[in-house]
Formats: sequence, C-alpha cells, structure tokens
Amino acid sequence: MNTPTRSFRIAAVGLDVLHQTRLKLAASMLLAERMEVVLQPWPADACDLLVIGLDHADAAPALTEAHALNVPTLSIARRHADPAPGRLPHGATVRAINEQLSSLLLAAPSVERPAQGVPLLLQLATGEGASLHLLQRGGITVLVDTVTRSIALAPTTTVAEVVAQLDDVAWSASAIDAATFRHQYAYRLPQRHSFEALYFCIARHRPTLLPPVAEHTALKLRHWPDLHADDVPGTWLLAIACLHARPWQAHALAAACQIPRHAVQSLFCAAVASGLALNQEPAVTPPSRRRESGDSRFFSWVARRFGLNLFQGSAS
Amino acid sequence: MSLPANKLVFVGSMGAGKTTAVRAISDVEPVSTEMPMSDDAIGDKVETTVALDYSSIELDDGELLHVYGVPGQRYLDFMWPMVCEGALGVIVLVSAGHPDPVASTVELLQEFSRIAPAASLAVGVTRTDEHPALLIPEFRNALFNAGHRLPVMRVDARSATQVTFLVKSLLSYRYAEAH
Repeated sequence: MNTPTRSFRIAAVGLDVLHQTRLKLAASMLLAERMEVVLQPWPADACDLLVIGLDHADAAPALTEAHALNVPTLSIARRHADPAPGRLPHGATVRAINEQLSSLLLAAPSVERPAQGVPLLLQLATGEGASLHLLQRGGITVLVDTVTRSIALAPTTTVAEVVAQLDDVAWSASAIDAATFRHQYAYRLPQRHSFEALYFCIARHRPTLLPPVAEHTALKLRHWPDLHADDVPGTWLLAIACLHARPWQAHALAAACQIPRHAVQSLFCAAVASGLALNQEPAVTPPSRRRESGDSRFFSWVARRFGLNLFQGSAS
Repeated sequence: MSLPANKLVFVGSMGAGKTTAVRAISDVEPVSTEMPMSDDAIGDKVETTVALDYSSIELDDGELLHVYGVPGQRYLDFMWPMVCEGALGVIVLVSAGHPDPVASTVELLQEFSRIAPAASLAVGVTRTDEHPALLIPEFRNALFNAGHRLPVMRVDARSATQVTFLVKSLLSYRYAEAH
C-alpha cells in the first residue's frame, strides 16, 4: 500500500510494427514491478526513455536530439549483433525489451520521483465545471460527484484500493450527466463515500498526495470527520477527539497523544483538504490530568478493554 | 460513595441494529427480549426487541461494563431513565433507511441528553450499504444545526470491528472533552 506505482513516459521512433507491438507488451509487463508506462511518439515534451529503431531514416536526428536532451535511449538495429545495455538486435524478444526497459528506467534520474502534480481525482473533486465525472483505470471505476461531495464505487472496490492508485497517470476521465449515471452506472457503483472519508483514507495511506499544512498551524475540527474503521487506525481517534475538543498545534498534539508527528501532520492535511479545519490559536495550557478517582479508573479499564490507553495518552 | 459510570447504552428505532451491535461486542450471548415480528417486518428482519437487550463485558479486576440495547419507541420510554442511570455513554443507532433519520435522531439525542446528562453521546448510522444516498457529512451537519456536535459515523452493526471503532470514538471523545 505504501509503495506507490511509479509512472514513466517512454517515447518511440523508427520502430516497425513488430517492434512497436513488442515494446507495448514489454512496457505493460512493467506493471508487475509497479512501474506504469505511457508510450508516446517522439518528439515528446518530457520522457524518461527513448526507444529508437536505428534502421529507420528518422532515427539519426532523433538520437542526436535525445543525447542533447540527456534522455536515455534503447536502440534496436540490425547492426547490433548481441544485446548490450541500451542496445538490442533486430528481432529482440518481448522479454529482452522488458528487461532493458526495466534496467534503463531504474537507472534514469527520475526513477525515485513520485508522480507529479495533483491526482486527477482530487483535481476533479476540488474543481469547477461538470458535477459528475467518471474515472476509469483498469478494473476500477469511480464516479466523482462534486454536488454531494462524494465518490461512488463498485461493490467490491474499497476506498483504500482507489487511494493506492490515485496518482497513476493512466486514469481516464469523462464528464457524464445525471441521467447517464442513473441508467448506465448507478447499479454498478452502488457504494457512496464522502470526500471527507476519502481525504482521511489518503491521510493514512498516501499523505503526500494532500496539500501540505504549515508546520506551526494550529487548528480545530469543525465537526467529527466521516471516519471508517477500515481506513483510519484506532491510534488516531484520541488525536481526532482532541482536535474536535479544542485547537492544537501538531507537535503538542503528537506529544499529548503519543503518536508520531507525521501521523498528526497527515491528520492536519486531511482536515484542511476536507474543509473541516478551523484555524484557531491553541490553548495556552496543555490538558490537565483529571485527578485519579474511582470513576476515571473504571473508565480507563473500559478504554483498555476496547484497545485504548487513554490515561497514558496513547491508543493502540 | 457513588458507583462509577459503568453502562453503555445503545438506543434506536426498530431495525436500527441495537441487538446486533450489543451482540457484536459482548463477551457473552446477550439476554434478549426479541419476539417475532407482526406485519411490519423490515426486509429480512423477523424478530424485534420488545423490551431490552442486556449483556456485559468483563474488565480488569473482574468489573463489568453493562451493555444495554433499548428501543427508541416512545411507548417504551419508561425504561430509559432506569437504564441510563450511571451510563458513561449512549450510542444512538439510526438506519440510513429510516424515513426521517435526522428528526428521529435529534429527538433521541435531546431525550437522552436530558435523561443522562453525564453520559457522552455518539451516533452510528447503520445500513448505509443498502441506502447509500445518506452521506455522513450532510447528516452530521443537520444534527449540528439542531444543536448536537458529536461523533457521527457509519457502522455495520454486524461487524465487531466497526462497532468497536464506534465505541472507541465515543470513549476518545468523552476523554478529550473532559480533559
């Protein structure tokens, strides 16, 4: 879940139909290594690799241009007798191309770069324009409804599965009208989840996809968020309850609840993204400990029975 | 010396999932007063609670947390003060398929705020899989506009994990409000 799929762009030029087809197959097989590839013609605005058929007349200028732009290349030519890094002979197999792509992309300078920009689903969730958008990627279909601020999913799709794929570049989107959704998709997408639930799920699994919040921001939750047991860990509940009760800064809240600072920062990002954050000055004094009494002792037992350890400021 | 708050109460109208929720988190099979339904059956529900459900959860040192499920119907409201005496939390369960979930929930929240002022309240919305049109933020905001700012969440009463998560939320909320 926490290993995102990396996205790459590969340009191709000078390949005959046989090699173009093999390149497509080889590129699609990279998904098994969590590498998602978009193929595009050369010249390209930005790409991570150029695959070039050197026997074609267009090859020479493209090769020169790629070298000038510092774009790695994989060349396929009759004159290459044996495979070598960046070179394959004419008739190279899908496996051989796949292995070259994998090694060249892993060696490319952009390999550790996370997907850039705001994921398409989040762009649509916060954008203007049509109120219903249908997003598709492989077997996952998501309806984004900006009027009800919700997404609709198939019965077997979880929010966490969508979140895991959010920043893939292969999502396609189309605006649809309410009648089309009702007649063609409503029965296929019966689950509804609010944007709030989506944002808090992102905060758990892919917090870097949310807009960052300044480190010393103090905030309070306007309301208790729409949380689901599958998507939010129980360890976050005390922090959420504290934010619901009064404003906090991240470092103070992390210390009070004894949870990692980055987890609190993720909560802050979700609170802001979902519109639940109220920016307020934090309380001057940290929360005082209630004097130990029979009631609080019993309450601590109840809390512990349900997996919380409130009186030490932490939850499990 | 007063006894500690040692009760957890689930309340809601018929079909909200009280009996199922009590059963989901109990150590022992609840004592229930379910009877066969008459003509007003809801879906596959064939029995309903005519008085209350009771169960218990054993804590450290052998102490018991008493768990009750009580019907939300007015004609049974004579039981509410008895059950709620010494309650640390009251969870209002409402089915997403209820014809007027906001009004029925607000009514119960108002009643139980008055009957059990020392208890913390939370709301669990059940059957959202069957009635997906009800979205929690909209429902919660309606409760807020009626004067209730508290944890509100979806819950599948059949799932021990989800009922436990709701109870954890109630406990965390109670703790944070008091400190």
